[in-house]
Amino acid sequence: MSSSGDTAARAPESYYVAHQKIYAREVQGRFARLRNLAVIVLLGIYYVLPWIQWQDRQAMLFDLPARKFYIFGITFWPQDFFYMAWLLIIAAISLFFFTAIAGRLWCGYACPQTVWTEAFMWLERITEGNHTRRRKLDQAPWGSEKILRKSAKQVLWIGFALWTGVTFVGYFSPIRELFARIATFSLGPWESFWCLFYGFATYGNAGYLREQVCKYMCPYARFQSAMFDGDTLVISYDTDRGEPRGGRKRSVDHRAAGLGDCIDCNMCVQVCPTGIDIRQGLQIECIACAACIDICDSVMDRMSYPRGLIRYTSERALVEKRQLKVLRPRVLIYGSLLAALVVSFLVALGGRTPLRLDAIRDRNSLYRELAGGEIENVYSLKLLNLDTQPHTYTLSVDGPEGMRLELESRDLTLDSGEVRRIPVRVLIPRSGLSGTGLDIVFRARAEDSPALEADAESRFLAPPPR
Amino acid sequence: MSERRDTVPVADEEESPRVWRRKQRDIANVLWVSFLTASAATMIFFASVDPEILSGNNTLGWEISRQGGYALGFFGFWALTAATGFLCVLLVRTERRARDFPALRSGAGQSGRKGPEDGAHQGDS
Repeated sequence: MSSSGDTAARAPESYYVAHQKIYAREVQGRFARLRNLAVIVLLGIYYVLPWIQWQDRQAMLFDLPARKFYIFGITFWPQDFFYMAWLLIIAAISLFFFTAIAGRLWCGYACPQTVWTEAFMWLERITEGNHTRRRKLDQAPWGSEKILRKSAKQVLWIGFALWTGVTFVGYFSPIRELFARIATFSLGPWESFWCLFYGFATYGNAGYLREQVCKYMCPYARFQSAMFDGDTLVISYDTDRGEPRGGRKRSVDHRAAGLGDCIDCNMCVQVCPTGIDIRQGLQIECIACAACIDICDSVMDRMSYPRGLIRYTSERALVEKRQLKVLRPRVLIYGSLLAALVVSFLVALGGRTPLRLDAIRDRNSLYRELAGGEIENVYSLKLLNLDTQPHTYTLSVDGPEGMRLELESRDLTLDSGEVRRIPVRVLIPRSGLSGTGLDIVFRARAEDSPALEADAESRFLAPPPR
Repeated sequence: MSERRDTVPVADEEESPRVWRRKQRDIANVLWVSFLTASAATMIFFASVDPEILSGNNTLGWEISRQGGYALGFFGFWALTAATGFLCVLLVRTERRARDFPALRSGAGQSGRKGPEDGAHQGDS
């Protein structure tokens, strides 16, 4: 991906090549099976997850109007944004980690663009046939067969896209009610818009744009090389072994005839979903789907040559003939960072108490001296019940001997998700105070489950001792 | 990964009639990238700010639902990020034209100083 010196003088106005439709040949093999498995698992999760129930509600629901995220047994509130940020950092480090090990694994197997494109290509294959029939069909004049096949494809595509759109909305609005409303044509404007919008995006991206999304729209494709090093596994053509390429009969001893292992059958080009020739080296268009490895291996088998003319290997192994080196500082650093982040995330999530307490000092008065020799401070406590059920809480305060907490309201039962401001007064006898202030700790504890407690620190102010 | 050779289009039977002009590509790029950053900004912003504070007495007395608030916030962010993108593209694209403006190069009169702005609006190739 380096540019040679002679082009540096003046770069051309544009490298843009007009898009041409790619008719990728179907491929079978180890990596194709792996990719199909990824498609089935990932799409399966996507379409099934919103239908799973958990304690009388949808297990996975992002309720934006109520600002609550339900993920199985846990309810996340805006106050838990920290967890989401943490999760995003974990996702980013995972991307670095896997990219450093084996290049664009994400692109080839897990990216929604790849996964839905695979699904749409499958629908295309069952209606329009294989790549040669598809190409012929496109070139043929409009006739009854073309209309029939094209409209069958469109019906499947549009149906699948709409189902995808409705499922997407089902993550944000309970999916069972959503389907009930669709059945009676009483969908709200927001829901209709998002169903159609996401359906259309799926239809356009997976049906028509396909590899162009990876080539022109994806930022990750442009900066992924920064995560590569010489030991990163990439899909490469073994030039030394393959060249000089050329056709030959199976019976010919190609070495004696001065030929390399590549029989120049062009299969690797025909299967490529982005339409590149892997024999020209690593290119930005390559999404590492490994289709060329599968097809080349099958050709090598037919020729009785060893497999792996195109294979996962590293630049260093290929050029310098060194051993593949997976464990190296970059991978170890990313790996241990990732492990630390995941472990601490799980620990934090496990120790998460669905209760919050904040204490704010009354700004209007520092303190008040009462007749009985007591000093009074006023605070405003904010109590948040983040649990899924209501609780009754007791408030207490930690401090010196003789300290008292006075509340105006005795009723501290909060509904799920309720936030309550509680004005409180703290009284400390003059004898219990040595300086002009001390730190105190408020504590709220659920009466029905003592483990459910939260602390809030604040400062108690007093006049200087006389 | 030695020298990057030109990619030859593979399915080359037919000439593609659809060539996007540079200006169209610039617009598409800016709108798309600003959409991505605006989505991220919307998520981060509304994770900590409840759009309900936008309604009522706080601002102009509008009545905005939460969903309306989210939409307003998203399109606001998008407008902002797109504006940044368009200005960026404008500066990058007009840099050479501004330098190559004939009046500046030949030194034919100081009136050429207003050239760069004119250059920005010249037609696209």
